[in-house]
Amino acid sequence: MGKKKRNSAKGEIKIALAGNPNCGKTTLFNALTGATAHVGNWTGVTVEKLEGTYRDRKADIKIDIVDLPGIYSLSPYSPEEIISRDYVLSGDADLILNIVDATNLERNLYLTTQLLEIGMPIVVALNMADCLKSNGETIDVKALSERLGVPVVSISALKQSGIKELMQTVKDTYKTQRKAISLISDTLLKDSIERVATLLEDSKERLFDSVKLVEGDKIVSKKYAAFEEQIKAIKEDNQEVKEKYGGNFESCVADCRYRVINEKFSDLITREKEKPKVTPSDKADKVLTHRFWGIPIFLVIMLAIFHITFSSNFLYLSVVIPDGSFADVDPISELFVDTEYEEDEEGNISGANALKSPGVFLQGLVEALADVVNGERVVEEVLDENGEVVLDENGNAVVEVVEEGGWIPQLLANAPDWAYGVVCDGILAGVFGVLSFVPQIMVLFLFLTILEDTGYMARVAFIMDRAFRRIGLSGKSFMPLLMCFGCAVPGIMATRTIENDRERKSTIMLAPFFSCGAKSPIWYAFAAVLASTVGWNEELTVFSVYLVGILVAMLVALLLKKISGQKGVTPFIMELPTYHTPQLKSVSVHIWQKLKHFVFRAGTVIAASTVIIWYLLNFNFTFNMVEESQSILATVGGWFEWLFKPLGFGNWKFIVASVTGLIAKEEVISSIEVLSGSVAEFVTESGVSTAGVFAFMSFNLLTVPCMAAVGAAASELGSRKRTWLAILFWILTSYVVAMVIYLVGEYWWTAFIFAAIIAGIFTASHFIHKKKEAIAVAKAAAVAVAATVDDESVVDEK
Amino acid sequence: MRLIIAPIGKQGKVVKIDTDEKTKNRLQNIGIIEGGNITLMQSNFGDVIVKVRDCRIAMNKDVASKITVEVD
Repeated sequence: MGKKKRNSAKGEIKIALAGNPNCGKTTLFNALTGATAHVGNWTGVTVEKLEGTYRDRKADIKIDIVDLPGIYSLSPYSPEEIISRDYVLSGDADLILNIVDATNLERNLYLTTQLLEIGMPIVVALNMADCLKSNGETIDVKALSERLGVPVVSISALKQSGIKELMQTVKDTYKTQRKAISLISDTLLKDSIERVATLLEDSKERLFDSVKLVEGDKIVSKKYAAFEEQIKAIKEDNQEVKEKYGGNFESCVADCRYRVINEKFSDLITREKEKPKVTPSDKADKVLTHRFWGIPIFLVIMLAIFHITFSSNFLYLSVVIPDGSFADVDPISELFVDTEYEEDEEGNISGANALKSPGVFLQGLVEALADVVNGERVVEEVLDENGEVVLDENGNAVVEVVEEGGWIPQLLANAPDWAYGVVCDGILAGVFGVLSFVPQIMVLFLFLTILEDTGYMARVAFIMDRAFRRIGLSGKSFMPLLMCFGCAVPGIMATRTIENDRERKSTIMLAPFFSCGAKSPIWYAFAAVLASTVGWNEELTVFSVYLVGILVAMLVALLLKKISGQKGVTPFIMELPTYHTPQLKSVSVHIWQKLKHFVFRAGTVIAASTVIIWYLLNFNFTFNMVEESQSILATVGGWFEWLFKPLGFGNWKFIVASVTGLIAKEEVISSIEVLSGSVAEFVTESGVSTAGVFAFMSFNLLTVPCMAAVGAAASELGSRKRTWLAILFWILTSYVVAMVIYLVGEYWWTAFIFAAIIAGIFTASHFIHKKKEAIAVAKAAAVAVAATVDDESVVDEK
Repeated sequence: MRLIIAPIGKQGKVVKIDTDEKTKNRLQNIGIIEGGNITLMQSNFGDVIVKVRDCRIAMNKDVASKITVEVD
């Protein structure tokens, strides 16, 4: 491996953090650099390099730090592990900081033994030393350091102890030369490694390359393809490996490493008491990953989270609170309770007896704020007794203010129409339209982050694996898809943890079907409208949208599996982290990041595009201010109305709202606010039916995601052709599903037709593949027969 | 016996890993090696959670059924 020494003149040091997944690399990275990278309690949170800088002015230390995805070994298995290996071997860093989880020393040292084979300075950070103490265990750090031949510093990344000492050690060590050593060079492989090494005179990392060549590492073998025959011969000569491992060098190397670790290091751990056979974590797993109860428990947890976030009838307390209790409460209490009620002819009140859930309460708070700032200013013309408009001496209509309105409308009361329009009906309406949903997004996030931080989500991946396997994916796809509920961009990036290319691409295609945070305002807003028009339960409406996404994803995955005709899914092997109580710091940092992201977007992209939409809605092609029905948007939108008729929302405003969603999904709501003033108005004035509204929601859920997500998908899919195919696929899926929903909603009997079509497709693909298989088998048989015939003829000739 | 039918909670030894090379390599990297200790913690219709060197590792049935263990 080429090693370019970096310019160290300025005293700059660059180090790489390497270690097993979930051993606390990113926690240490955050502690060192003050960064706020996402930390979670599962394998594969970090899927790309993160860079930051550690500064200690007093000690005059400045160190650039590169955080790498977790790896179990330097023989990578999944795409994100390749990133780590490539970086470690690139020689870009001056030193490798190997983080070792002290609670799991043996397995972590497996990677360390491989890192030692690279001739670079190494410092070992023994992390989670505090956890060790509470387990009644101690590790002899000094002896560990002596036996590894590199400095070892005991730290706690979480409690930020030992950090200064660690960085001082790094500073003292990075300039020293370290000779590569291999702990397995004294085993039965000694001879083979040494003989291979003699071939590689020019190699900069001679020891590392020799061991990897003996092991049969694909990447290194390719590099030295010229020596293939010689290496093969050397390996053939090793009789011992042949006897003990059936000639499998890869197994032999792995086994030797573990053996050496066991011999050399197991006596360094002293335990005061025997470890319990069944830990509290195991006990929790007995329940949470139960073969029957595992999935129902997960669903109940998710439903409870949705309830706390979206329900306007918290804990269903309306059952015990008498009707009308909150009919006339003061404005402050109104934030906490539902004051809406209906009165029948006899004066009986029903309603006004429910508490708002925390999510709905917070949303009300922001809406109240929006009202103060941008409450609508209502002005009416004064009429005389005959119903005629009263005119002043200049012939203008006399007006009176019916409602004062918020601060900004009052401020702009005398401004020209266009200025008032662009600020109040454009920017403020659009931005507040988005902001009012931020609290609910945050509450939902908070719970998902907590679940993730405890380590529960890794278990869910395990219990979901069986179901995912049926549709041609594995439990590995669960985590990325779950992240898509937050945002599709990190979700799509997290697919790097999936080893199999086909599964990875399928997962990327399914990503937008999992409703992201930015889409959720659409569901909440329309759920509220449907609650008031047709009386649908809000949380169930929202939940059903999420369900539509999941169901469509399953159906599509199944279809992709059937069409591709692939058999078997890659094996699911995943480490389950120990449960721990969620860390306030990592949870709050994550939530804060999300909040900043949304507010920033509302203030920039969304504010800017609302101005454009407002302009297009109020002007015509000759740049004159006109009625909205003659505006540019209405005209252009009108051209496409026929296309969306079969979907039940052939209305130009619905089309405009959907299209603006491509910029950012929050745009859908902010556009609606600009187009009609409110979502309720938007629905009623259009005359779109309930089925049409639900079809519109489904269409927006399933269609092409925002530009950011398309960009992420493009870079992960790796080719322009595949990206266009994905876009086409999303458009088609959303169109077809929305149409089915609308048609079945309007004419229920069409359900049978669609069921028949789906069944037809599945049967057809089944038969086609059977036929293909038969052909393949026949071909293979023919080839085999031909081969035997050939062999025989060869024998005959001899 | 095959891992999926091993008694739960009893420590045993891995006798043979009969998967394809790539999977076997992955299992070795994560700590499951022939001759190493292993304890079956849980089995859900063949999908298993095992304890190896103080880590809990989940595997699906396909993999678990190709691992042979010896429990005394």
